[in-house]
Amino acid sequence: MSEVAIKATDLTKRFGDFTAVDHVSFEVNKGQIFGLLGPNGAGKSTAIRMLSTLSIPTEGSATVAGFDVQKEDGKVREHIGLVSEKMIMYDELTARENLTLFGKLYDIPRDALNKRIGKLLGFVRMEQWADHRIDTFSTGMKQRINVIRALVNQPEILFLDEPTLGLDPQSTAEIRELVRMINIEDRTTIILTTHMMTEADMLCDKIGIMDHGKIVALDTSAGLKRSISGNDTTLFEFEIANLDARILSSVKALASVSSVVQDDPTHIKVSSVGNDSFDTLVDVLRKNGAKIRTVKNLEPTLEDVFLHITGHEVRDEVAKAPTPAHRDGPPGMRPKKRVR
Amino acid sequence: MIHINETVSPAVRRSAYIAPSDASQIGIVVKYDFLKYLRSKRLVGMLAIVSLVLLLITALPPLLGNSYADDANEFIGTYASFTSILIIIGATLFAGDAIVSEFQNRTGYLLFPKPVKRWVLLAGKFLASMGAMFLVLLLYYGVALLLDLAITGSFSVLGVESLLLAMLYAVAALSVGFLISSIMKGITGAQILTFALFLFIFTILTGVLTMGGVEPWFVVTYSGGTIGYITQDPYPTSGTATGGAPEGMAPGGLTSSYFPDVGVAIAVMAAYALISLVLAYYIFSRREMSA
Repeated sequence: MSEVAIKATDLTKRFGDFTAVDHVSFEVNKGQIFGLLGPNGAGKSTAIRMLSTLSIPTEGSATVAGFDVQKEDGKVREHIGLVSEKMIMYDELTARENLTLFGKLYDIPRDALNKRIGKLLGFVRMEQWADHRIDTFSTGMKQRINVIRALVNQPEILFLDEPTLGLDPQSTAEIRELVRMINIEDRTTIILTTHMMTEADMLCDKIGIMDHGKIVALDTSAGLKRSISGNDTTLFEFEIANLDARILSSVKALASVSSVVQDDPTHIKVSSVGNDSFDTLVDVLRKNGAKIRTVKNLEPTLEDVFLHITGHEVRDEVAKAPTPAHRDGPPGMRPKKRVR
Repeated sequence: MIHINETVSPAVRRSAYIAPSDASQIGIVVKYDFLKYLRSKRLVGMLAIVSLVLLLITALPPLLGNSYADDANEFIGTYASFTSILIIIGATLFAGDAIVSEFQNRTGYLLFPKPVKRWVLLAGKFLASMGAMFLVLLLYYGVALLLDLAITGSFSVLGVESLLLAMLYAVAALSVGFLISSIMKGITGAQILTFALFLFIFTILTGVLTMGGVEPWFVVTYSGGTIGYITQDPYPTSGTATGGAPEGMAPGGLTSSYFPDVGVAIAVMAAYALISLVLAYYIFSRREMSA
């Protein structure tokens, strides 16, 4: 029996002249948490809509749970759950009524359905709110119901489209924990879209980075980070009280240094190669009178990976068009100030 | 630690739950859409309007020093003359946003990934709207017929025929409302268009055609005029209007030299219902959820 839960082959969606998803291909194995990572407008939600049969691909094909999303869409829908980024429920109905409605659309026996709804409400600590109308709930409460609504039928595959968007930190942590539990307990395959790098890093077994409709990188989180840092490259962050142009120049001039990024007036990130790179850097800095306050050995983040691959930062609004990949050293280590 | 899947034996394959029968799913959609009508107070609002209309028609004549009609059919005819406007309001409330709301409010993200066919959703929603509308009409005519019996001492069989025609006209109006709802992008626009189409556009079309010497037999609101005319005994023929409300307008409106043939009117209303529903399904089944 195939271990592949989802297979997308050259999946494409066009709206007139605009290509929202451009020949995207990937596979997700059963029991994996797969992340589609990228900024708003990258095509993540459009890809999810095609895989969950809400939208018909313009080109390409996909199978979900072994069924073709176009020819066997009804079968696909029996095996999936979808949590949209929009925290939508039927406001006029109570939480229990919403869950019951969607449960009854599957052939779940009444007793089993009632028991399951009770368990799911208990899991998200919403039992006391079960018989209250949705329009009386806060955003976090709505999202908790939104997530468990998709679990009523115990789907094999769960699509989560920006599940923590707009939530407070506590609710965000709860949803992430719920996602982990769903995956661990029932080996539910999860496809998660997010523009939050930390979320993808935290949850996903495999990550596809999307930008302008294409998958530009596809690997595990560790693999993606290694792809930009290299096995012999180390990233250091220095806090230097008297950082100036002379000190910066001295660091950049080192042969072992591949890139330098100044975050703010006293912080620089230096990527350098070689086992002795740290000693060399400290020697040069001291020689130039630098007052080193702190030093950190940094692992590249997924944002660094995104920057490296696409040439621009992940923001809700893309400030400018992507710039050429190789300037001032390896791509991703751009000699400009960045605000985190 | 709470295990969320205690209800299912590990031996059971995940996603063991498949879709129940289409009929069963239709029943579920009907139930919950009807519940939404109740909770959103549309049905209550409609019943309030009906109550107000009944009150005004019943209370005003004696207050103005007029007596009620002696004849049972003439008595019920007064009530029947206002049925069309009630149906137009009902079609606006129960059908105008039935489809478009799932897209505008994004609740389609909840429903459409479920193993529910689009025609099942359409059928369930339509039956729910029909149920709400029929409830309103049955209440309206029920009270009117009881008052008729109490005041004139006779039961109007033509009043029952008027009710049946009203139900058919309601089905046609709801169907057109569903078609508009399947096309439009916004709830407000769909409701306004539904209301305006029946109250103004069809009426104007009927009036212009009539003045031009063309019988507007194919206009659904013209066919809806049978609701009032059927209570007249004998049924009016072409010539001078003897009262009632032509083409769903309130009493005192334009007279017409044309009166819809009942058989033709039934066929026209049925055709509007069927064609509109088929088109609504065709459009709805191809409509995708957008971002």
